[in-house]
Amino acid sequence: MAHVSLRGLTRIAGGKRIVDDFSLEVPHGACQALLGPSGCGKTTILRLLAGFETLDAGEIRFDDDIVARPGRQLEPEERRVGMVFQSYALWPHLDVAGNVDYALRVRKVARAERAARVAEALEIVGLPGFAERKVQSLSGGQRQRVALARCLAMRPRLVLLDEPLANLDAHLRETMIDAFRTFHAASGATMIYVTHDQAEAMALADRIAVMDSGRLRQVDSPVRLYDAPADAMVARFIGQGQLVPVDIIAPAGEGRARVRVFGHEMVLRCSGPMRRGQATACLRPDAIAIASPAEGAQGSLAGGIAAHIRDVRFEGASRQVRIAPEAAPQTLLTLRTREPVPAAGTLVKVTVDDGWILPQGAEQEAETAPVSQAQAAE
Amino acid sequence: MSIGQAGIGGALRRRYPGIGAETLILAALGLYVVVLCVWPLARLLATIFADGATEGISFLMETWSGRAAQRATWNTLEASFLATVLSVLLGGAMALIVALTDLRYKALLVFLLLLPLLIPPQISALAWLAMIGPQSPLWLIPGLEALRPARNPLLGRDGIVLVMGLEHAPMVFLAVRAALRSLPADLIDAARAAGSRPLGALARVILPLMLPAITAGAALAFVSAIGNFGVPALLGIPGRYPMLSTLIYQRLSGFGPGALPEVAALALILAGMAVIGIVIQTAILRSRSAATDRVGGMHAGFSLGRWFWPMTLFVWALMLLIAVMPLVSLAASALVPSVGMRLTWETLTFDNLIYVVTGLGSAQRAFVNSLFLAGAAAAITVSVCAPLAWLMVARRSRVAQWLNIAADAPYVLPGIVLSIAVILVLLPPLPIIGISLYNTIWILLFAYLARFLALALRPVVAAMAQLDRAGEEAAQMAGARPFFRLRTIVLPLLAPALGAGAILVFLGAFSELTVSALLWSRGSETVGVVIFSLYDEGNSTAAAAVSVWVLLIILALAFLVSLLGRRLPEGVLPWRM
Repeated sequence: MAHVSLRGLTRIAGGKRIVDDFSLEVPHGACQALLGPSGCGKTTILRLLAGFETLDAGEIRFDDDIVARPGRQLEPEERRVGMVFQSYALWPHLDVAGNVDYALRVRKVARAERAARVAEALEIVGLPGFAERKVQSLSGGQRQRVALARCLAMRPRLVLLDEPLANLDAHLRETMIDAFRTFHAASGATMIYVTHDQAEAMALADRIAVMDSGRLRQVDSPVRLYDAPADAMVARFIGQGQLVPVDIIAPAGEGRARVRVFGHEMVLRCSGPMRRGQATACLRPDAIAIASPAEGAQGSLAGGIAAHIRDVRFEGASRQVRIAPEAAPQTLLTLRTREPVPAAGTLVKVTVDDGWILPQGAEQEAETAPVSQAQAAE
Repeated sequence: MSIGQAGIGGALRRRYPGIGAETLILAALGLYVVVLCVWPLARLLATIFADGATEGISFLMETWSGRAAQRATWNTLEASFLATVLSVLLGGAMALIVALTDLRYKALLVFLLLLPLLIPPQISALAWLAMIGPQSPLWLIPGLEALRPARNPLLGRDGIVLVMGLEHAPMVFLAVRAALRSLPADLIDAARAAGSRPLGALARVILPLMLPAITAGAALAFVSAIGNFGVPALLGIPGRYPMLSTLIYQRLSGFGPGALPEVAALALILAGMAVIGIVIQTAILRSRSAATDRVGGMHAGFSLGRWFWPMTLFVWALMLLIAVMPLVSLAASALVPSVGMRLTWETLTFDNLIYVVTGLGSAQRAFVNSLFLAGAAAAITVSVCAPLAWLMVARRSRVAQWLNIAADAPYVLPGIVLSIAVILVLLPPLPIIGISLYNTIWILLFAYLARFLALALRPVVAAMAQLDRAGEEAAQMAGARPFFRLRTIVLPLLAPALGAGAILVFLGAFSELTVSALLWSRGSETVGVVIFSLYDEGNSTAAAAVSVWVLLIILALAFLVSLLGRRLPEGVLPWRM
């Protein structure tokens, strides 16, 4: 168990800042996800933590020990960090027990204790009695469990996981998520894992750090990340958020503000007091709804935003509808509904149940990225 | 629980012991490669250019202006060029046939085609002499009696071209087949879809794309031809067709160490020719890697249709003629009581085979020496290869990568050049110990270690590169230090490749002639040398008998390594089907 602190990590390769001034504190026993699109530098941070890459600036501390700083660093074998590789990296020439007790043989643990710890680790990951098996005879999910057991047996203070669910099919993911939870509880180690899949991050982590282009964008609980993204990148990357320009009219109580969106007034959530004037709001597809035709027929402003239905995509459980507000016909908004939808081209009224105004000053990027591209971040 | 007790400085300082061990291994390997591979070749250059560049060049020109040297140079170029043409035709055509048609029993076909890689050149020459010579069983076939020649027609240029051409055809074959394997089937299918018949697709799409591979294979075959010693020695010396390798051999064995400066100059000319060929080959291979990107599978092969049986008949008849018949003839010539007799049920005898291993002193010594030398060379080379490949691939050591390049030099340069270089460094007494290794068996071991390091290093590096890097990283995470990782993770995973490397070195060293011809001495004969001298003395029957033993050992080992082959990663064995 360790408190891991990353301070100003910078890694430059090929003239590019792969990781750029990245700071993060991971408390004892936390399960921290590093989430970001591919190429954002999250895997590099994992390898910096493991000791396979060297720092160009900043420092890494486990509790009070400095494990890496530019020019001097602890070798990977000195760090007591466990890692579950994306390829699992099980050694094919050893059986399951040989894989699991390797770290113990390194430390010259007595044979009897090794056997006991192997049995214990295999029990925890749900593979009792697999000690004598050949690695090649195992399925993908079983291999990952062996990789977890190998980690568990070495009793690391920190466990790193590289895209732990990426190679598994949907059904296996569910059972492996349970396995990871058991593993986390049993080891008590601090866990850090990287993924590009937000569902994977939210399923496992109690804290998520969103990264982009080598930089940290936001660290928060999964719920906060979804409800209150700190900037445009996070808003778009998480939960298919779409950014719309809003006009702040007046504060409306604690953490709320009255705004005008596409000519329609409504109250949205925000952080603290906001200045009057231009801002950007994040609207989730599930928070937008088509008002029933009866309401729409009133033609009153209270009915919602007037918009044309552009197209409808049937997705099984729901329909994904794209609409173009009358006030801004070039803009496309996506909403999700389970109700039947009028034909494309119909003029409807749209209501917004919930939305989050991005902190002012974080919206510059939003202006350069039109809303219609919001889907690209899926 | 934490390593914090040692303090921050203590934790950081632990980095250094690991680095130290690696540096130590690297230094030892560096010394090994420099002494074996760099020192002799540097000494060869230094011998010529000791008095400066201008003097060196004028000495080279002076040596080269001699009539014998000019003739040998010209002959070398001529025979090597013609042999290369034959290699390209045979190797290229067979690669196309094997890769692109629905011919059957391809595995056996490929094995027969690649057989020359296993059989040392002097044995091939001997086998062809036995097949075409006046005593060949070939002339017993009804209808062919009239063709029986009085004198062996292989002695001289044409024989050299034929045998060297067949000997080096596998190199072109392997180069072209590798390129055909990485040729996306879509390209061929697209040509067919555009309306090309198979032959049209061959001419307009496949052959143009194969051109770099063919040229690279040809360059390799050419470099091997100019460095070949076994074939010119057996066919060219009696046939009065001197080549550079045989001229160097004859000068040095005729005049002794006094001729060293002159033969060093000749060796340098030969090395220069080889370097040109290697540069061409490397340049082509480099430019090719960017040319086609490997997408999609390999082409399944064209159906031969009504040409199936004619093609089958032709290919197998050709294989029978060039791969099987010579060896059968060689065996036949070892099974008769004396030279010139025909093999019948009455004359059949195993006396020669028994005699060479029980009664003939030089041959017995040769078997013992060659087994020892090949075994020692294989064991030592492999134990050097493992850490070198590990440092090079897994630890990405720049120095190790340079050592890998240096190790290539003694292997790709003509063997006769290496032997001159080795004589130059080992003739004077060694520093510190004060004794000379010349005229001992150790000079042979030295030369073999230099010559065959690359032979084992290549498969081991290829296998190392295919290991999942995460495997070793996982061991690092578990706390294993370099030596422990090497022993428990890297070596076990590398074991099949190391085994294959050891057998390749053993095969190469066991019947080596080119390097040994100038380095052997009485008491340290090798089997390659003994076959050559027995033939030189006119005792072809005994030479054939020794060759048969050598072939048996070689084929048994090749069989062994093929069994191992199933557990090997791709690209480790050259003759893998």
